[in-house]
Amino acid sequence: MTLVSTLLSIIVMVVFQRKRSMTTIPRSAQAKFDLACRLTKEINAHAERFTSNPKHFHDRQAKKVGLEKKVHLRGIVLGALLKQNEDLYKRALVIIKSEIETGKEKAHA
Amino acid sequence: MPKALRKRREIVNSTVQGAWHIAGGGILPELHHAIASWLLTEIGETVSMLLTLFQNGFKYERREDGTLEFADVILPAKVGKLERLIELTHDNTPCRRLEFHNTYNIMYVAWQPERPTEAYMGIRLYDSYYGTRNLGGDWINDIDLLEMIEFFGILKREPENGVIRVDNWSIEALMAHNEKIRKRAKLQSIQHSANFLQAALTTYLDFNWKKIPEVVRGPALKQAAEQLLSHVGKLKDGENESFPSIEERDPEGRVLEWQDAVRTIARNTTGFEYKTARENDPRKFSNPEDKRGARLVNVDKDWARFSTSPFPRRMSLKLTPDNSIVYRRSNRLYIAIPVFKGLADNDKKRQKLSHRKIFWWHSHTSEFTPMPLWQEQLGKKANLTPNFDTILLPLQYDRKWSKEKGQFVAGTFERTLCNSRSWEICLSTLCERRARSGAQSFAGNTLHRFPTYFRSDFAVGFDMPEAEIPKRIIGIHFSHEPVISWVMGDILDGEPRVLDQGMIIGNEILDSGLEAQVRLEEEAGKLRWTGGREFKGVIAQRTNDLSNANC
Repeated sequence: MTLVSTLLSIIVMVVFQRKRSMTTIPRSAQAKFDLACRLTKEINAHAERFTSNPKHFHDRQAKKVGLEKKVHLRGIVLGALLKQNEDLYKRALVIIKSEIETGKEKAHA
Repeated sequence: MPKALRKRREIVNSTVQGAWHIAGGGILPELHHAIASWLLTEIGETVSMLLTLFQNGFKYERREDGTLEFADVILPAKVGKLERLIELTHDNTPCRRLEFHNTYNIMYVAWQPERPTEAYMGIRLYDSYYGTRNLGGDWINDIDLLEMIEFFGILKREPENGVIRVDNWSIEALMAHNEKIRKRAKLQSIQHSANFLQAALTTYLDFNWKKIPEVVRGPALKQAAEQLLSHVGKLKDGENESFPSIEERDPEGRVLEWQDAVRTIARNTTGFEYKTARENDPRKFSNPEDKRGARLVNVDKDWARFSTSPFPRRMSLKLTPDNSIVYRRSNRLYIAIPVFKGLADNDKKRQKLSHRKIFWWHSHTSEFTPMPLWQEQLGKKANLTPNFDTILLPLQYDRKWSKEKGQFVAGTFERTLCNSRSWEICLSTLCERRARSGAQSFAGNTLHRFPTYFRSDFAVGFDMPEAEIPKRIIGIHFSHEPVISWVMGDILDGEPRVLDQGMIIGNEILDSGLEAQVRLEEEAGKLRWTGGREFKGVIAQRTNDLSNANC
């Protein structure tokens, strides 16, 4: 009985962990918007780091920080958001643009 | 002179290296480093510009069976130099120098007499045909001019004694050939040589050379011609259809371009486009069982721009002997390069880099003596005369401590350059290398002031006795399976015949050693580092096994 319960708990843990590690697109429009904003912040941080430090760049490093994945996921999320709520989509675009400009200003400063 | 004692010229791939000694404080090393860096940027950018020009005018066609039929390039041309090309192609003397034997070269020039500034030249880089082609008689009818004329887009085919005139445009076809008649049923192909292409481009190409130093012009044309012909060769073999790289070669420009790519990626709101590796490159993953063909590959253009290195690949600069003379002054060697030759006095680069300190040697010219190799080859031209085009750079010490003599003596580099009796200087290659972190310093830490250093590799040739073909010849071929195969033969009444042949299969130890070698070759082929400790150990182990086995 103990063995069965232990096994069950392990299976539940593994499934739960796996589900947690998988990147899923949230259902609600607001959650999608939040996810897009979070990804934008992360992407911009990576971009700023690479731009200011081209010496340390190589392709694997970009893969290691998941830049490709994040940009692609943001594209998918924004595509889904456009279908669901156009206003939020436009707001997200404005935020992405302003974040880049802020980053540019920081770089110039 | 007996035949056995007769000597012939042999070009040998022997190279001696001399690193540039750019060390110490002050402005002079900075200027030297900046000039060397500028030269390499110039060659890279010029080749890039030439390749862009070639790419715009490049055209090729394949037959239904996939073989390459022809490859042409159309370029802007200078008019009024036809006579020189005719001389170049039909006269024997320049032909011999440019090695035009066993091939023929076709080139077309089109121009309008009313508008002499607008002219084009078309060069057939590759031509293939089945069956017989008579090049001896009325050759204008034998060569299919149609594609070339259509490529110009302004002419129609109206042959008239080798010259075609339509709508005030003139086109002239020029060719040189040695073989008059070719009679073979199989596919024949003719390809231009890089030397001819370089000569034709030097004579005809309408290109703005004003801001490019003379030492760069020739090598840039040669490198661009070689890359173009290499591309044609690959097209012929069906290997790779992408045109040679025309990426940014200027380090500053490349970084800016790459930073722009990073910003574009950060601005992306649509995601990337993915394809399977097999769809992306069907030739590479033609085997359906290869699992790597099923993985998804990002084919987005912006990502490709971002993925390439932010640092450009540097080209090397090949200099002729008269453009890279080595002098001795006391115990030190110097290399002289006319870097500003061909540039106007008000040129920005000249004004920026030609600081008065660079020409410190003007008041010491009598102290410099050319090395015997150059003295022998160039004569009086090798003597140093003060001018504001040339810079003199010191080469690193090449002296070794001799226990016997109790003093420093000349090293290999210096001894080779002194050996004028049998050696001859061919070319020197200027290249940039990353400075080794633990390199021995001759001038304190100042040697590592710059992240890179520059080196001149001198290619030298020497005379060797003419090889006599023996009556009996044994040919040995080394491979992996069997290890050695050999054949012995001789020539009887002008016909070769095989006397005996055989092969050696090898043994287990040798096999395992060869397997390791194959693995090493594969790793090296993938541009992986094979000089590490792991491989070193494997090689040492196999060598020990082999030597202990007494086989």
